[in-house]
Amino acid sequence: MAKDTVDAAAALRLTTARSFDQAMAMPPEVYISDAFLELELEHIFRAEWFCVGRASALANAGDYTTLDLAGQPIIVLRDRDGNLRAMPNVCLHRMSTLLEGRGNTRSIVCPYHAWTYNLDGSLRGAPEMAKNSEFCKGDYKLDQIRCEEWLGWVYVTLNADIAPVAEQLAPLEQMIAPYGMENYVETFFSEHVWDTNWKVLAENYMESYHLPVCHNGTVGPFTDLARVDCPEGHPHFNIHWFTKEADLAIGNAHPDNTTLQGVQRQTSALVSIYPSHMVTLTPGYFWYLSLQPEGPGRVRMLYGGGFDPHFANDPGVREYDEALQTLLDEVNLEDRGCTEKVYRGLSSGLARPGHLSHLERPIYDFARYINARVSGVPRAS
Amino acid sequence: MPKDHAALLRANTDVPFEQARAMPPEVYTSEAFMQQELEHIFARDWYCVGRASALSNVGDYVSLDLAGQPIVVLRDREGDLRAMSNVCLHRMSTLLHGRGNTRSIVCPYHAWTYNLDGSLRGAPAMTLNEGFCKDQYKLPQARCEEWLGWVFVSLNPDAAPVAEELRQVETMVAGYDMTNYTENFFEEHVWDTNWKVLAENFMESYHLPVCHAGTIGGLSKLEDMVCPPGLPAFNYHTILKDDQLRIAMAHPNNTRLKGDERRTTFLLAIYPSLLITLTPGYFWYLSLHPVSPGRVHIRFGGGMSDDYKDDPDAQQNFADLKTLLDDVNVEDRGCTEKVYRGLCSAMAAPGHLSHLERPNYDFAQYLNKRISEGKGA
Repeated sequence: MAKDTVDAAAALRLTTARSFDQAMAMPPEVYISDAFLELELEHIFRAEWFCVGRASALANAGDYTTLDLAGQPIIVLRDRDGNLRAMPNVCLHRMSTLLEGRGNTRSIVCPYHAWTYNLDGSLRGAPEMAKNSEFCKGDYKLDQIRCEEWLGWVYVTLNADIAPVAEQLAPLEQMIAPYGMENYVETFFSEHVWDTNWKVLAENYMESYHLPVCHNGTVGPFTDLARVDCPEGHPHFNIHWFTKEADLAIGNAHPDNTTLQGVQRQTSALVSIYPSHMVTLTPGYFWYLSLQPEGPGRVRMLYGGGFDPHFANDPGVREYDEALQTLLDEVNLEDRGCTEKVYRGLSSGLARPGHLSHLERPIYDFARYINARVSGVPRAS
Repeated sequence: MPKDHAALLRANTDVPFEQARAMPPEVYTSEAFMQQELEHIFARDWYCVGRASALSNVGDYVSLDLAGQPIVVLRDREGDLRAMSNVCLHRMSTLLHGRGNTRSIVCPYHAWTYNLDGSLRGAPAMTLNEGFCKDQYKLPQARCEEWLGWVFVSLNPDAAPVAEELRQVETMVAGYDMTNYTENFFEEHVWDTNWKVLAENFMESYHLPVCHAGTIGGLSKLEDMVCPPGLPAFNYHTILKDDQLRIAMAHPNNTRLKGDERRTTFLLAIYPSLLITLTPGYFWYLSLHPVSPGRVHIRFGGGMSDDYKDDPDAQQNFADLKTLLDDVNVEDRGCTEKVYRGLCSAMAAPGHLSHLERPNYDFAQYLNKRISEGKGA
């Protein structure tokens, strides 16, 4: 094993052996080392569920989205039977990638030589192949990759043995049941790349300790840290709760929403589903990130959001949507500044981790999760 | 234990053409396999640096890296083409960069200065070193040959002469008189794909209707493509073109080409990496060299047959053609970079080849021969 892998993994083991009341930030090496990133790709991104977005974005037969998961190009689509399917996005002839971006298609046509696949991955046809005596169209079908839907989210995994999403996240489903997240309607989606490590951005999402300062131009002044609740995390996710009189009308429950009661109507759940799916679930709207590394110092994020059905069906939804996106764009700009500064600091020779606040409980749990995965601790089901 | 990529390629190529598959992903993506290619192919075979007409005057030079060796090719004072190590004999800096014309070779570090034959002309402030003797310094020479207007270099003292290796090409395209094509553009590029992906892309026209749907795809008829078996040093296929593009046809003054030959385009793949599109009226070429498994350096040039030199519209026609070629290259870049992304995926598996990919099969046979002979040596 390369020296820096040993060092990063060993340093992380020491950090995560501490009890929470003595907790410290993760050591710089786990953020900046190429070798540690390889461990993460192998034990986390090729082994866990990864969220590709909302199922409503793939509502019709032929709707597709593409992604690279730990180096594997993947297509996720809605097939003719109405099922979601994930398949390698790699032609079975000369191995070109097939589809790009997002869209709708009747079949999958390779952009190189027009080998054409049905939406279930079977080969429909390939021109000029009759003279190859070994070629048999029926033998060709794109491999199938596991794909599951849970509360409106679409997840894929390269791991044949991992437990179903709904099983892993059953405790979470119970905790957030009153919100009815499965019915939230996505109104915006985009992809971005920032110059920081994926865990820095994930951790930024997990704690609200930074809100008053990092976000003093936007949501900071509305933040009362005394009203943040950070319970202990679970094996597959952590969550913290935030209660506030919202600055936006959509931050609190819609008047027609009778499901949420009392303080719930002003309470948001900040959910981090491991490894990298982050959801801010408020009574009126939601937004999310799904992260994966592109090198130690770069993170690719799927970013989207929308509204609970009451607001989504409200005549004012277009205004709400504009206001929400404007606010989130400003908030994201502040987060980008903070997380890219952290990466610059982490990369410095003199960087040393400090102690964590009790408001950073989810970060402590996340570090223990990362340590368990990369050191091969059997996974809790 | 690392995978034996050469063994994978051997198994892949050990089938008759009628059952052939694409090469396994590892031969494109492995650093170790690329090192074998550099050692057994690029350091052994002839590599084309471009057209001799680009080095027509004394002191004209071009520099390149061949299998890690910096080389300068120039026209010396006797009018001969010469290839030499482009590395100073003092503290080993590279000497010349890019292309140009020079009276002597002056090292950019301490001004040790060489004549165009590689002998040391002078070195400042060296008289106090008793061991230094100017006459003992001469840049090591590499082999350099001209053939039908092309300039080739080789690091292999035992390589058979170019003209001998490519005699069959010379006979086959004699009517085109390739020596008399004049280059009028030359560019260098780097794309994010393996050099063999781009070479194979050139060797088959099976991809034209789809990959080039925005440009020449509509004009390409798969039934007009002929893909004969390759020969040891090259492969080729031909396409019959209709007269939509006048300069792809033989000029009326050309009486050497007869019948369908007058509208036949040859796509020549001269191993390892010189790819020539030769039409009766114009030509263009790529000469490829790996930078890394996922990056290829491209020398890209082209021009017209001298048959067209007095033709009033020919230069404008060619300028239009160059615009088209640039658009075609954008499409090829898209396709070949997509292939490299696919090849890097763990789930990539090679499929069967069409009869229109005959040259790819032959190319794989050539690669396998070189690598297994090299390893056996």
